[in-house]
Amino acid sequence: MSRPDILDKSLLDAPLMEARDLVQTYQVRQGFLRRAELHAVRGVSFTLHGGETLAVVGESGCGKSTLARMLTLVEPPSSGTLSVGGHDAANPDRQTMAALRRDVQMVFQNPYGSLNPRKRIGTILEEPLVINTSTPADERRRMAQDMLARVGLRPEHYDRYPHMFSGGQRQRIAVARALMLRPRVLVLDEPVSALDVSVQAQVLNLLNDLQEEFGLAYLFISHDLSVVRHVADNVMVMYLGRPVEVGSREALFETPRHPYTQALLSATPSVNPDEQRHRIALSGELPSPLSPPSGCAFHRRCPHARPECADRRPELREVGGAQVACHFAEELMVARESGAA
Amino acid sequence: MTQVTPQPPAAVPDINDNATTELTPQRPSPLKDAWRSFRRNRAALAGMVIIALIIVIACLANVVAPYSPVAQFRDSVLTPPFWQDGGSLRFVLGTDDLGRDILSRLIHGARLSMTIGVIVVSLSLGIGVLLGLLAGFLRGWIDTVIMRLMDIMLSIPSLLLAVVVVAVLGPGLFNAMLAIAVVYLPHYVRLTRSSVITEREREYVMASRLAGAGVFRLMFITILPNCLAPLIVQATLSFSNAVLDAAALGFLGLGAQPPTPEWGSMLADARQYVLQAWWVVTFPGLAVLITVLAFNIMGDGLRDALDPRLKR
Amino acid sequence: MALLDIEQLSVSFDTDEGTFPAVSDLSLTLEEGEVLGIVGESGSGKSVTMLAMMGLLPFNARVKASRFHFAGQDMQTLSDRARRRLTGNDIAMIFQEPSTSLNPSFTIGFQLLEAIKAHEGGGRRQRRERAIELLDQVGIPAPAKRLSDYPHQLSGGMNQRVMIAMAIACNPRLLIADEPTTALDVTIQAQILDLLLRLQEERGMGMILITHDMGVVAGAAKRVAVMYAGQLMETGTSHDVFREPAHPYTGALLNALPERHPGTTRLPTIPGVVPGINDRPQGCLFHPRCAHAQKDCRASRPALEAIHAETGLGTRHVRCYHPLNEEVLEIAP
Repeated sequence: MSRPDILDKSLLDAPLMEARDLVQTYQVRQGFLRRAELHAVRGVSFTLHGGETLAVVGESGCGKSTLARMLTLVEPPSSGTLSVGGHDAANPDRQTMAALRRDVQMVFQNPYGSLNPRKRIGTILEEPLVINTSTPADERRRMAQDMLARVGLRPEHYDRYPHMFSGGQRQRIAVARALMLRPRVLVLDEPVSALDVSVQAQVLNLLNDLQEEFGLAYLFISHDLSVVRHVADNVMVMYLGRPVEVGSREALFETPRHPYTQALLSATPSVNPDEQRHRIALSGELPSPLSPPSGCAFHRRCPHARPECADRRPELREVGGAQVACHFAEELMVARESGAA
Repeated sequence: MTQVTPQPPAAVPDINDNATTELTPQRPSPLKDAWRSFRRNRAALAGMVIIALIIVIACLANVVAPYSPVAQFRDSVLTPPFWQDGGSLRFVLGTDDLGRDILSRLIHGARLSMTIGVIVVSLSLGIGVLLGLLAGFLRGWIDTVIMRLMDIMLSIPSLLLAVVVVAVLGPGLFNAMLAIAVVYLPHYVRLTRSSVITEREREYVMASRLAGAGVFRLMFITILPNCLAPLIVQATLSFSNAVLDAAALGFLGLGAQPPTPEWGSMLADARQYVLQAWWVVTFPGLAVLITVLAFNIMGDGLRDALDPRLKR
Repeated sequence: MALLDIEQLSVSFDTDEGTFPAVSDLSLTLEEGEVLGIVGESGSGKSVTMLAMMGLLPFNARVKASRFHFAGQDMQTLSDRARRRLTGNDIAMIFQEPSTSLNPSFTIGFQLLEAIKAHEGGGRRQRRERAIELLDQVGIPAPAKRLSDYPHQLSGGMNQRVMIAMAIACNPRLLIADEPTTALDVTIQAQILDLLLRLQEERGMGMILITHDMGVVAGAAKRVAVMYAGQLMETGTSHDVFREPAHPYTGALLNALPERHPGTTRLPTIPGVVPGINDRPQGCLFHPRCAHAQKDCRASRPALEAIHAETGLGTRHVRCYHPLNEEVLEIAP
């Protein structure tokens, strides 16, 4: 099943993607001549190995989309380092850029918007090959048809237009397109949140199979914690552009350390009638990234906030096997465990 | 608990989703769908038939027309149409003040009008789409420069602008066409720009960019085909306007020069005989009217068929 | 007496390709002050049912029902005007996209005052006070200031609160919420659901919650109806239905949820696709995708029949010849 040419042992050990302290700042115009700085993403660091899935969780304005744009090399970060397969991807020269681009591909949220409605499926799948390689046409066609079969569609679908397919089938096509250049990292931006439950399961299974077969590293952006729990090896929870908790799936779902993670978990609806957990109600709205609260960005909505939370911003630090940005993570963990007992 | 049949192992592709694909109804391609809703519009269909007829006549003008458009029959000046006293089947729609057969001139004029339409529309469409793509895709100062220029052009009354352009370039049919093309340019630029701006934010554009597509590929291959529907409609509508404006310029003596059988200049040449010989102005006028009407009706029908916002 | 009583409702659309039955043979009742959840995937007809009730369907739709009563009045014999007045005053509806449900060109206050004017009248100052009171009730901070805001100045969650304020302005007896939280963030979704349930309880409104998210229904509705391809497949208390699904479709749908399979890599799926306009199967609409289908399922379409559940409290109905969990369910005599 695993293909030796792709699953090189040495590649497995070295990280495929590594980010250190990524920052993205935008200049925003506010009225006439007034400019403000918008810190869309600050201080994101992670390491991603082949075959691994890192899930990024957060609500609107948390910087997920900006992060995706940086990781797919569409926008260079304002500061910080990003490397793909050991090469500098933050400020690459033209040639490295073209090479790196083939290593990182993306699947989008909305399967109805991500396929060009005026192009045939074959043209859509072959576009990456046409641009990046000099593969002859019949070879491209064969590769596209192979990939269609691989994602569970038929080779005959090659000549059809996107509107003839259902949402789930379109998402398969989008996955196929992302894989045409045999990338090593796939950024998946909410890949199943626009799909119905039964179709969602099909696409999740497909992604799982492909990851095993190609040794892909996934960066899985989602707001749905039940999906994240299913796919992720590691999870990064973001709030207003900063990671507030980073850890393994087990650490995060078994004992969430940050109050925001706890609230997110409790707010995720469940069909299990026995698991009607008591919901931690968060008051208030998500703050605007243009005017973030002082100190801990979460303090205005946090049920455990204390005066110092407004003064001092907590740094990400190691607490019991996971990283968390909260002054009182230890206390909260103890309180939670005794409360649960 | 429910039991669901075990899934095939990982190596076998998950073919669940396509098991019944063949059963799902084949939805027609966008073009076929548009044709179907266009066909339901009777008036638009009639407009298209008339246009097709005019085009055929224009193409076969040398065969269909009984006489040369410039042949002067000095013995039968200002002959009325055949159903009037003094008329004969020799000149079905009568003759003008120089004894030229009006029917022949109209038929050859159709050829000229169609050419004017085609050239004006292709000129303004081509340049307009290019400028609109640049403005909408690149934004920034290029956008500002192009759009302010278009605003200035739009602020001048269109016929006046055309007259100015002709005055600069000198009268003549080709210069008149250039002038009219310039007048229509801003409409195409604005239309293209606005659709490019909405399309370029779509995810498929981002996907192409991630595949490594350069600016030109993104503009012309990825985005442009998705902006064509409103442009096609605008093109048919301005085709008729071009015919009309060319006639107007011809009427003012700034367009086609005699003896070219252009509908507008036919009207202009004959205007002092309006009271004695109604046919010399009526038939060219009717020709312009019918052509313009047919194009407008067809354009409306196309708009209904192609514009998804007006559907159902 | 039930607030809403529908029997054998069918809605079909005339299209180019023929008649498409969007909803068929749908019967449901809703008591005063009850919360009913309607779950279904896209294309299951859950929204069409509610639009039919409000008389909001496009002209090519044909609606038929053997019984269609709201608050004791027969909606089918009512004149158009009387019907509009009834639905306008006693039924309110909120939609998925709060940002598009509000008119972007007018302030929140203008739109809310308009709704109040239409339903209650009263003087200018009175209406303004009522608007502030409503905004306060739906949990909008500094409501007096918000009146002069435009929809784009507020977040999605705040706009949905405004929509809810407009919906309850007329003191409806029935509130239909069509995917009210789908476009919102998780923590905001929880807030809005809590708000809807609190208002429903305080006012004793009936509420129909339409959603594709079974988790949302499980937490909010006492009773749930599962729809598939325009038919009700199963109804019952949400506790029973989600714990012991009787219809194979419900079972398969629940089984496809990742939360049901901690620690596994592959999820069970439902093979095939929802039938479209030309491929509606003979017999049970679900049988081509059903793991339990037998000969009779292919031959004829089962009716929605009452079953008696040993574990449950209320009656359950299921449209299936071979329901799941038969050991705990028993066909009612």
